[in-house]
Amino acid sequence: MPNEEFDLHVELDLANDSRNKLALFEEIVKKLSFRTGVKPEKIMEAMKIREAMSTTGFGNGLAIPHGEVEDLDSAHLFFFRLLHPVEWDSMDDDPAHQIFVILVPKEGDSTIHLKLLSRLAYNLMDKEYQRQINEVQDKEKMRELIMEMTKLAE
Amino acid sequence: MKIIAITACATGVAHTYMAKKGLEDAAKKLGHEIKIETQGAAGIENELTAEDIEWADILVLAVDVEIAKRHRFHSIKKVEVPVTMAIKSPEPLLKKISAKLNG
Repeated sequence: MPNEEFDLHVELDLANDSRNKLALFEEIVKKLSFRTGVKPEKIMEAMKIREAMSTTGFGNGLAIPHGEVEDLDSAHLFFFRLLHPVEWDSMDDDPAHQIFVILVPKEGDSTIHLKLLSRLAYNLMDKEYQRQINEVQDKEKMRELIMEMTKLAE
Repeated sequence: MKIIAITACATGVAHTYMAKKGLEDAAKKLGHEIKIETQGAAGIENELTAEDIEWADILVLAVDVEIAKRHRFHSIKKVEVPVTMAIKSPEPLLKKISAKLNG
C-alpha cells in the first residue's frame, strides 16, 4: 500500500444508522476522541466551523465534511454509508448517504496529509470513482478504493 | 478557448481540488485547453507562470477567499465565481464564458 508511510487512519462503516447530520457528527467525535484523546469539543468545533462556511454536500449523495482539529497529531479519514440518506443542504438539494469525513491536524507541518486528502477530494469528483463508491459492498474493497483515491500523483 | 484558472476555498482542504477536477473535466468535454493553479492549505500548486498568462484567453477565478499573488493578472480578462459553481456546474460556466468571449 502506497500510503502506509503517511500515517493516515481510515475507519469504515458501511451500514450506519444515523438519522441526521448532528447525530453522525456526534458519533465521529466520540470515535475520534476515544482513539486520540483529543477533547470532543475541539473535534466538533472544527467540523462545525467548516459547515458554517458553505455546504460540504456536493451532490450525487456524496458529502465531505472536514476540518482542522487542534491537538490532533495525524490525519483521520472516516467513511460512512448511511442506511437512511440525511438532509445535508447539498448543492443538488438531494440528501446525502456516502459520507467521507476528513480531519487533519491544525498545527505543525501536515503538508503530506493535506496533499493526500486533496487527492481524495479531487478523485471524488470523478464519475468512474463515484460509480465504484456506489457499488462496493465489501469493506476491504472500499478500503482499497480509498487508498487508490488518496494515492499521490507521480 | 485557452483557459487559466485558480481554485481556492475557505479551508483549502477539499473543495479547491474538487473545483479543479470539475473544471478540468468540463474543459476536456467542451474541447477547451485549461491549466489550473490551486491555492489550498498545502500552498500554491501548479503555479501559473507569465507564459501561461500570456497564452490564455481568460482567467477563471473559482474562489471563496482572496487569492495570493493577484498582481500577476492585471493584464488578462477575468471571471470570478464562487468555488461551488466550478464543482456543481462547471460546464454551463465554461459555455457562458466562451459565448461571452466570442460574442
